[in-house]
Amino acid sequence: MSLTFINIRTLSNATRQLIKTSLPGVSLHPTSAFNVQHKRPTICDKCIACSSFHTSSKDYDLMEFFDDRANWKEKEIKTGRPWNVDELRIKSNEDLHKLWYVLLKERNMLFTMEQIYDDEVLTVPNPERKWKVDESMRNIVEVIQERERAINMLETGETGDPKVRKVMNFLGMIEDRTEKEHLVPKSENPEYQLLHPKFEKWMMKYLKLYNEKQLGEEQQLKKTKRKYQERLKKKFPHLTQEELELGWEKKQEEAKKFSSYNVYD
Amino acid sequence: MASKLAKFGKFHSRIPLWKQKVPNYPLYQQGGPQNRILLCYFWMKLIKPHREVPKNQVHFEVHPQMSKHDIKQYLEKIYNVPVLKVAVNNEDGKPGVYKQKPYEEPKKRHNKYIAGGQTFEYPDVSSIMSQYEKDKDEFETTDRAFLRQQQKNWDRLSIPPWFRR
Repeated sequence: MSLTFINIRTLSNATRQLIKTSLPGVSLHPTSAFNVQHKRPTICDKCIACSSFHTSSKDYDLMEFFDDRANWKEKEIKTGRPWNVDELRIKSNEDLHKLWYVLLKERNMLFTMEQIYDDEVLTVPNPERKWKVDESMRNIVEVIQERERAINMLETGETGDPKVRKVMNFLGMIEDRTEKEHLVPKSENPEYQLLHPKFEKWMMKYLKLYNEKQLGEEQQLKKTKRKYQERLKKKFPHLTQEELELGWEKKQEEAKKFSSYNVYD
Repeated sequence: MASKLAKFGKFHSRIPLWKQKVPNYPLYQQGGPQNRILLCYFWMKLIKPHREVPKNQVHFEVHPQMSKHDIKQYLEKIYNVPVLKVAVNNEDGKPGVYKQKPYEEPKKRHNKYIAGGQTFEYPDVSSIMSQYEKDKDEFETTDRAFLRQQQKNWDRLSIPPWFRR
């Protein structure tokens, strides 16, 4: 019979009793043919239709750090796309909280499996799964941040983000600084007061030099912009002023791309 | 919660979440509410122990910002595994050699002891290796054929293969 090939561990208690009563000839104890030890069990105990529906495992264990044993022998493991922001906005906070921990476990599993493959000097099957998980996790954070900001705006009229204020250095330079939590207030903290004194005359000497340096950098940038636009104009004389400035912006973006940290792994 | 997330600002678009710095706990004063994490950014990796270990001991590689209490709660709350003791082993990074060896990042490793008479053994991973045996044979056969052809034409190796006959 075809029933003999059903994995009994996946069946719920209700279905087992149903099979026992309806088909007394079938023996229901695991044999070697369908005794898969590490198959993840189902949750639903009520309906028969859900018995084949698998969700994340209910029995927690350290074996959850590893993939299913059925996937170990495969070279390709096909997966879907990551969660969108629009899809996550419909969900409740509770659902997002559950999804986060499903993704977190998945990510841990992918790391352990990657480590195994690296030790054996083998290629990892579908390594882009890691990035899909990362994208969906980041989208969850984005959605939750949106909600918190909205609640804060309703209650207090301000987003909960830390404010950026301007602070004078011990050299007299003014810089932006994000706010931070402290146990001791500023007025009673001698360390802070030493590092942030009031303005004095001797600071002017260094501030002038600093200002001069900044102006020089600005002018250098202006010069490069002018020369770049002249070169463009010589090559393409039909360009308007707006197009020339657009070209300069694009060039700056490209320069920024290569100057900063661009590599993922 | 709002300030906790917002303190970190917008996430960097290029660096993945597991490599980014995790925001610190809010400061605690006596009588204040207990600190709780709703979304945990930490990751953990189960690794093969480099020596023979007793059955109640498991080795992990973890996020460098994690403390002993963090790792204990991480396993107890998320994976439902009771923990008896956690031991730490911090490894320094190593400098790289130009064009020969890349820079090695610093690592944090934990030896964890399970409580309650539970045991764990690192599973046999040889089945992963078995799928690549076919590829290995192919490599060897191609290598052998290449070698044989080289031995056959030992006196005219510099000539391109089309002119060798």
